[in-house]
Amino acid sequence: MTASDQTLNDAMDQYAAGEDAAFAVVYERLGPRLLAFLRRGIDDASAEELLQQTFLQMHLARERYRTGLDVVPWAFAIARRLRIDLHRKAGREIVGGPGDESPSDDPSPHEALAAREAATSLQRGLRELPASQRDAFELVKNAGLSHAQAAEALGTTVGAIKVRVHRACEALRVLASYASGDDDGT
Amino acid sequence: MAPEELRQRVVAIVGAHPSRTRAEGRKRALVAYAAVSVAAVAIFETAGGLAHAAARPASISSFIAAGMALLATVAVWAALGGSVRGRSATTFVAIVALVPAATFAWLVAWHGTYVEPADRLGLRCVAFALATGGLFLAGIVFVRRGTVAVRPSLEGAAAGVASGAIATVLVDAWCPLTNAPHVLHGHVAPIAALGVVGAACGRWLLAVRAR
Repeated sequence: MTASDQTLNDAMDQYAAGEDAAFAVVYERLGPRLLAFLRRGIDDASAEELLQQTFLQMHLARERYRTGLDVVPWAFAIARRLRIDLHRKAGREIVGGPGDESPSDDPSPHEALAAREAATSLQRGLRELPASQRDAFELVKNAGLSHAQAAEALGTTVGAIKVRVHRACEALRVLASYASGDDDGT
Repeated sequence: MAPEELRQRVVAIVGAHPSRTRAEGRKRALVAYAAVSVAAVAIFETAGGLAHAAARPASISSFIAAGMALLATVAVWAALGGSVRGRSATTFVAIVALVPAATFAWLVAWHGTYVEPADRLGLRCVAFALATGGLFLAGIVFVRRGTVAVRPSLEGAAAGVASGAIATVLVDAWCPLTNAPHVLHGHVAPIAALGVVGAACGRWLLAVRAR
């Protein structure tokens, strides 16, 4: 757990105890990370709506927060569940969408095209992964959670997360090889 | 949306929904569980209370009740502990599998140590267990509704089985029979049924949902 996460946990502890001002710290530490996670696969407006819902759920459940609990896996578990609900209701794809494209610092047209192709390839690969591998990959590689935090968020073991992320990376690497014309895929 | 505008919207939506602090939540849970316990004891007394099991020696009844109370306490602690993220999947599965099995083993172990006053299938025990266990499960759902983000079905199933275990403490204090067919049908089957109901409650009522 990082120092930033510890600060977040302390703030959430204070918020659960009734210090409403601590919510600002919780939002500051969590908001951008959650939004980046939620933006993958859905439009910005939906991601922002889900972010509001995630914080609302944390707010409504703060009575059950206990001192010492790592907030990050809990928050991402809520965000993930809400995103799954949204996809179920709307029948949308889980990954792939405008929010998936990473901004870059004024790239040349050639670089921009290459980056867009790489992003498209990654999203196509993610879409083809089993949900369990995709979730683990997104939490660890994209959202920056530790293996332990991802395991808690997904309700599984650290070993299972490591295996899922490894398999996801392997599958994406093979797909990238095929996409770039390297047919041996190794 | 600009980051500051988004932050303000989050603060606004949170501010528009009052929520309980940890201390308030504990008080509410305490009141809810106390009310449910009183209702369950009322059902127990209405059904005849301890006098209904008078045909069984009091010492044996005490041992059975003590053992079942211990099992129920462990089941409740294991099912409902673990803060807002709940227990591991392994713990929940263990509760669902072991509590009915342990209940059966504990009760049947007393068969033959006294003369049982009757040989019944146990329909009244089923009704009693479902009524009281259902009350406890309703209390848990009331307290935890919409707050479970990980494994809501499993947590619900474990809560249902734990509720069944609490109910069985009362049922065992009321019912003097410990033969295997009766225990399986009248005492263990309701625990399993409450586990199934709990799983459904977990999925539809305990799970986090967008508002």
